[in-house]
Amino acid sequence: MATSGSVTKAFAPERTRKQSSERDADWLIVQEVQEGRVGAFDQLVSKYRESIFSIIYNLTGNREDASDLTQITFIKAFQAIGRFRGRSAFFTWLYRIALNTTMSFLKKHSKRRFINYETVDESASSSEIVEKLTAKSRTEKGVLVRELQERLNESLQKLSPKHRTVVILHEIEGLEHAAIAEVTKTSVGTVRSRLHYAKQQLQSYLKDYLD
Amino acid sequence: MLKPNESTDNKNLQLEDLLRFKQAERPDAAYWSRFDRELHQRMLHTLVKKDPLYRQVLRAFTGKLFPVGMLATATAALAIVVGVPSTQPVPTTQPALASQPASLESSNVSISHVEVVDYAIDAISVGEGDFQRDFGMDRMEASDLSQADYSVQDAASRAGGAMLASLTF
Repeated sequence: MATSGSVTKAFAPERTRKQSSERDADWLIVQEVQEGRVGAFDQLVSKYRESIFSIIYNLTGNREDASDLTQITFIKAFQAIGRFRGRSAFFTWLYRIALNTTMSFLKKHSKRRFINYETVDESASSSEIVEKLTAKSRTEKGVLVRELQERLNESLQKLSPKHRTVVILHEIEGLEHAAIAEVTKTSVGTVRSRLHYAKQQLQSYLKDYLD
Repeated sequence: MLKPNESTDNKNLQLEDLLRFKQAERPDAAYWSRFDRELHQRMLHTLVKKDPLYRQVLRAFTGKLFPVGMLATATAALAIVVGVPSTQPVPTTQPALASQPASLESSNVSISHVEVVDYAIDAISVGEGDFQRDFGMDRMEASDLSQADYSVQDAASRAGGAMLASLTF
């Protein structure tokens, strides 16, 4: 019987192949845009808009700011796509633009912060996590979901932007350590260290849900 | 709010599980259609947007000055390249002498008032005048020196070749 480790190893080449083919597909679209067929840029927007929005939303904690900064990210990418040479994957380049744009925004508006949460997908209300939490809490499901959303966002906002970024990219967006290191221009060791510290902090902030 | 004592059944709930809940915070489809529309408008606006006034002025200014600047730069470069050999130091006096007639012609000065050094005459006078061969005489005189003089020269010769050369003259 295969262990979970060997299963992971067995799927690793498949995942690498998928990433490589996605990278090639993105590069073809980028070249189309560079050759003047600017309509092809819509394909890249459709593919990455949700990820970019999610990263920015979880960094800012404000859906309106996230919406605005996501659009700015794509406009910046469109303006600079002529200089993109394909040395890194397109998503790495795009994520970097998104992070830089958001970090500049957070620095500029560090004293003026408004929280405006995104609506939670209905399907999440019936998720295993919510079912577990509602089993013994005697709290109405809708209220519990809202509370959990607030606590998670508050906890994330307590982290420094650097630690928040790593947690968001790894735990929410599912990026591997190496990819995060490339996006944030740090070493894999730094990513692991930040992730470890950030998760320790979150454990203490969310201990009511975890104990 | 969930109390710690109410969550006895949540022991297997991990932080990663809670963070995965964040993935559910996604806008709906209607939001994305609005997002695409707004993005297209902003991108078009960015493409056709006029630059600020200072940039327009700067571009007009540099646009007119650019050809003039290029011409001036090219001229300066050409002048440097052509001018460098003439500014090099002249090793002999012959070019200076050769340039004298040209300068006299241009200034309309009578050639009779100008002192021209006639090296040819000097060369002839060397052979026919009161010229004495000084080196030859020195050597002859040295052969007539007294014994004391010779002893001085010997002492000097022991001091070194340079001293010997100075005493000979």
